[in-house]
Amino acid sequence: MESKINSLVRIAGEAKFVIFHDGEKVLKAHFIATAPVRGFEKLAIGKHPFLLIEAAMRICGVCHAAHGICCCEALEHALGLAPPFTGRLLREAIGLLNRVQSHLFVIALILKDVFEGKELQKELLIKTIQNLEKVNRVLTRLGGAPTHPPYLTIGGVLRPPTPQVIKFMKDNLTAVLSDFQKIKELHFDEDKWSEKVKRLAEVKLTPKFLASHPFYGDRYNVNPTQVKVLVYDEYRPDAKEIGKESSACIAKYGNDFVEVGPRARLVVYRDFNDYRLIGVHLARILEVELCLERTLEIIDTLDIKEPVRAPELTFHEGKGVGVYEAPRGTLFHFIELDSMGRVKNFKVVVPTMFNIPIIEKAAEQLPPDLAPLVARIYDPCIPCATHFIRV
Amino acid sequence: MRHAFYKSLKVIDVKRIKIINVDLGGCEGCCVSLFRALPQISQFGDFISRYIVEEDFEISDADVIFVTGSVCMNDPHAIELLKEARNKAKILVALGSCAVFGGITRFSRGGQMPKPEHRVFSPISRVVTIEYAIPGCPPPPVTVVSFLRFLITGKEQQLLLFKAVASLEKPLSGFDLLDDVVFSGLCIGCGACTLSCPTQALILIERRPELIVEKCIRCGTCYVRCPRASQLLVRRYLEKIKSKS
Repeated sequence: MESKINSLVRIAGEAKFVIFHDGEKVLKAHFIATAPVRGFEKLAIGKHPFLLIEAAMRICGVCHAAHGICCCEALEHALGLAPPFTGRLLREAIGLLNRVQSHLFVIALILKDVFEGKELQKELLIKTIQNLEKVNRVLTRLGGAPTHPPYLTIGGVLRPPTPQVIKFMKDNLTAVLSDFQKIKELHFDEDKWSEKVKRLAEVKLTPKFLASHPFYGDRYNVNPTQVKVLVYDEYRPDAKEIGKESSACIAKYGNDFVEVGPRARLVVYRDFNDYRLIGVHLARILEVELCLERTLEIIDTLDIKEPVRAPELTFHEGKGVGVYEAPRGTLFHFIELDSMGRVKNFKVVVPTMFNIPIIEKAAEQLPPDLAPLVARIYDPCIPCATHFIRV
Repeated sequence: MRHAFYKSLKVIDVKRIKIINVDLGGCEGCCVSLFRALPQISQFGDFISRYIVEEDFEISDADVIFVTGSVCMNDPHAIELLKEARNKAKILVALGSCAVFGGITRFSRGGQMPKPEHRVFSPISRVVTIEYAIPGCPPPPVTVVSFLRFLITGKEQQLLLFKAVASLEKPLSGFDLLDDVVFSGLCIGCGACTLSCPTQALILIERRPELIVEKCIRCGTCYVRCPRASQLLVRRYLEKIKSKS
């Protein structure tokens, strides 16, 4: 029996889930992105690196800073540059705030699935949006805007925060951290879970995990040459017709399909071992707290009198790769510059491209009504995923 | 002239309205902006978006539909979706620079797998008639809330600029600001453009804005935020209405 969920709701972007089931269990699942391909890799060719950073941030309106930082890292690699210590820390703080933004946003989207009771859902929704707004205000002061922060640049950040901004950040993030405790406690209280989530918690999945860093991203902890990209119908030759509709591609690491994202980071770098499907969401909750604590630690370490940007910037030919831990997992940007320093080649591999096969595999052992929930738990990002490269 | 304008303007005369967000495949930044405004928007009426609904999202009849993202002219699905939004909306609003002017997607050149045919991304006003346009990358929640408040309370004067932007036939960018305001000597050096630019592509040098051309993403926010350029927009719009009537 075939079911089509024509529009998956409460995820970032437009996608559908095509599932084949026998009434009790999903036999085959196909996650098909249907958003148009805006073609950022092609758009970038011939452009100046400064425009590339702005364009890369506009790949996604949820994990904007992650794309911006990854792009800066790739450009610096190509140009043989490194940001100064304070610049690097500020960039890490901007990235972590973006991760908290993204996680809080997803928490708000999934509330309806996790808890029963309209009143509780509404109360938590308002609380989550209020916390999100506080984080947005902090990012506005630190990064220049709550979305697509313009202070990210090649060789560091455009400007350091003032002592007033540092105080503002400390006060607000401490408030968010303490406010978030109630949201966290409720998520870890299994008695409060909805029937759907309780059923989901009975299923485990232990794929291979990929992560490069707990908070930032490190091109030396993973091997970018191992990343391979497939068009959907190459990856699922059994579903040629369905696959043709997909505007997203699939990524492999070596010969394996790997899970990336909050759980992968906590499994690789912490002692997290919740392999239930709901474990992905619980890892997300834990990461919010960890990221806020790390940002507060960075604020205490900052010396705002130190330089925040590399002193010299010369554009020339070069090749570079940026690896960054975006909210949804490991993100790769590959860049080649021509002799004028303009973009010759730009390729992006996003976390959702790694996670699509995992989402499908996870759905293929569940009752059909839980399939959309699995997709939401993994937090796929369609605007990011509509890209294609061959690495 | 004012009389003609009031006739052309649509305002809402009910207390609670139905508001829907339809996305055509942008970066989602504008949808997130609307979502962030949810507590305030809820005071005006019922808000429906893909982020809110339980299981299915369908475009139903609504008082206001915010369309986000530019329309891919090579994607029949996106065009159908936009036309459906037009048919179901009493007031159709383009939200964000991609929907209003095309924004960064105006640079798209297609040829990228798996959909190499997705080549041309246009402002939604190229396909359907829109009542209002709110540029920004993304527009902050406070702008959306103010817009809705003006709409519900019938503040025509404040809505005039959004209406004028919706009637534009050509997208705006930092170069238009330089041409129309700075080079023609109208600039008063207030700095509103530099504050509004989402990429920091404008800097004030000796109290005049200078454009870092490599950073301009053609969002048009600076032009609309400039007190002088916005007057020009409104004046040209009123003249257009007058000549038509």
